Amino acid sequence: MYNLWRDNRVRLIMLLALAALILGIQHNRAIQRGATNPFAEAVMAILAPVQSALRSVASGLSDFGYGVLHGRRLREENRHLRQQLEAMRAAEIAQEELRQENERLRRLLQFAQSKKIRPLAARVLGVQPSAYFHTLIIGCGQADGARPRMVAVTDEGLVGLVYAVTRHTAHVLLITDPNASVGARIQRAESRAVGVCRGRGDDYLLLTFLGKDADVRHGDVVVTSGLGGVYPAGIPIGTVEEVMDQRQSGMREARVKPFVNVMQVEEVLLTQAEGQTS
Amino acid sequence: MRPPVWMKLVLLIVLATVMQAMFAHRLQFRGVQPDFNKVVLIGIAVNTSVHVATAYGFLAGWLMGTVVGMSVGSYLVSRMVLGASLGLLELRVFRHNPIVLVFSALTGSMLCEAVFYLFSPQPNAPRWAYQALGESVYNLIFILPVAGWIRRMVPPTPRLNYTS
Repeated sequence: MYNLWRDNRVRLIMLLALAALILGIQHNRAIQRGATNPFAEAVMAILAPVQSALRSVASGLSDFGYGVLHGRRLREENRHLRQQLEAMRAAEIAQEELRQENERLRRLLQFAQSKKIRPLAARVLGVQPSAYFHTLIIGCGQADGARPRMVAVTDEGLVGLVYAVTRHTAHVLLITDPNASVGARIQRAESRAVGVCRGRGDDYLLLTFLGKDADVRHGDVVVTSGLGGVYPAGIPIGTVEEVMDQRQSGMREARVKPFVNVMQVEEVLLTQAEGQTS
Repeated sequence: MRPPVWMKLVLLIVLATVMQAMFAHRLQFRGVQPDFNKVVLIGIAVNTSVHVATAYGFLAGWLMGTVVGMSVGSYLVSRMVLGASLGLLELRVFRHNPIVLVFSALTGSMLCEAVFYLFSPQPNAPRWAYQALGESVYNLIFILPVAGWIRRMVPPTPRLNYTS
C-alpha cells in the first residue's frame, strides 16, 4: 500500500507548508514590533538593485519616446509650467494654513519647530505591486534614517505612512488604501470641521466622522488635523468633490480627491510628527 | 555552460515580481491590473509536477509578500495552493491543450485569490471579488505565451505513480 509519509514529494510539500507558517508568523511579529525582518531584508537586498536598474532603463526609454513624440522644447516648457503651478498651489495652501495659525496665535512656536525637522528624500522603487494593497516601495531604509510610522509627502501633499522598513528600503501604505486613515480637517477658516480621511481602494478618499451639521462644501481643501499624533498638522490631503449625508448614522461624509496622484509619484519626503520618537 | 532549468525559473519569478512592482500599475484598466508573479507561477505549474510547482509557489509567494510588505503568510499559502492545484492536473488532464490551459489558469487563479481572501480578508468584499475576477481574466492575456515559453525550458516530467 502506498505510504503517503514516505514519499519525498509529500515531505517536501509538508516542509514548505511549515516554512510558510514560520515565515508568516515571523513577518507579522516583526511588523507589530516595528522591527526589520531578516528574511524580508535578504529578499529586498536582491530585489532592490534589480528594481533600481530596471527603473533607470525604463526611465531612459520613456524619456526617449517622449522626446521623439513631443520634442525637447515642448517638454521643457511643460515641465517648467507644471513645476510653477505645483509650487504656487503648495505655497498658497501653506500660506493659508500659516495665516490661520497666526490669527489664532496658537501653535506658532510648534510650527516653527516643525520646520526644523530635516526630512529624508527617497526615490520610489515600486508602486502598488498588489491590486489589494495600495503601497509604495521606496529606496530609503533604516540605514538612511527611515523608521516605521514616518509620514511620506511630496510638494503636492500627503502620500502615506511608512509601515515596514528594511535596511535600504521601506514600504509606504498609501492614503488611498482601505486600511489607511488620517485625522483630517477642513482648511477653510469658517469651517475647521474635523473628521477622518479613509482610503476607499480607488482614486478617492472618504472624509468620515464629520458632525451632522459640519460645514463642508465642494472645493474645500482638506489638510491633516494632527490629531492622533502620527501625521503632522497642516499637510494638504485633497479637495472635497462631493458631500453626502448618511441617513442611517446621521453623519456627514465627503468624497475627497487627493492632491497627489500616487501612481505617478517618483520621489517622496519622509518626516514625522512632533514628539514621535525614532 | 548553460544555467540549470531551476535557476532560469527562479530568475523568471524574481524578474516577474520586480516587474509587478514597477509596471503592473501602468497597465491598470478599470482598477484591475495583471499579476506577473502569478502568471509566471501558473506557467511553471502547468509544466511541472505537484511538488515542484508547490516549491515555486512558495518562492513566488514569499517574494510577492515581501515586495508588498504585508500578508506574507497569505501570499505564501495562496501561491503554494495555486502551484499544487495546477501541478496536480498533471495526473488528470492534458495541460498543454490551450483551452485546458486557459481554463486551468482561470480556475487556479480564482482559487488562489479565494485562499488569499480566506487568510487575509479584505475590507471591501465586492471590490475584492471584482478585482480577483478581473485580474484572473487579465492574466489570461499573458498565460499562453508565458506557459509556451516555459514549456520550452522545462523538460517533460515523468508521470507519477501513486498506486505502487
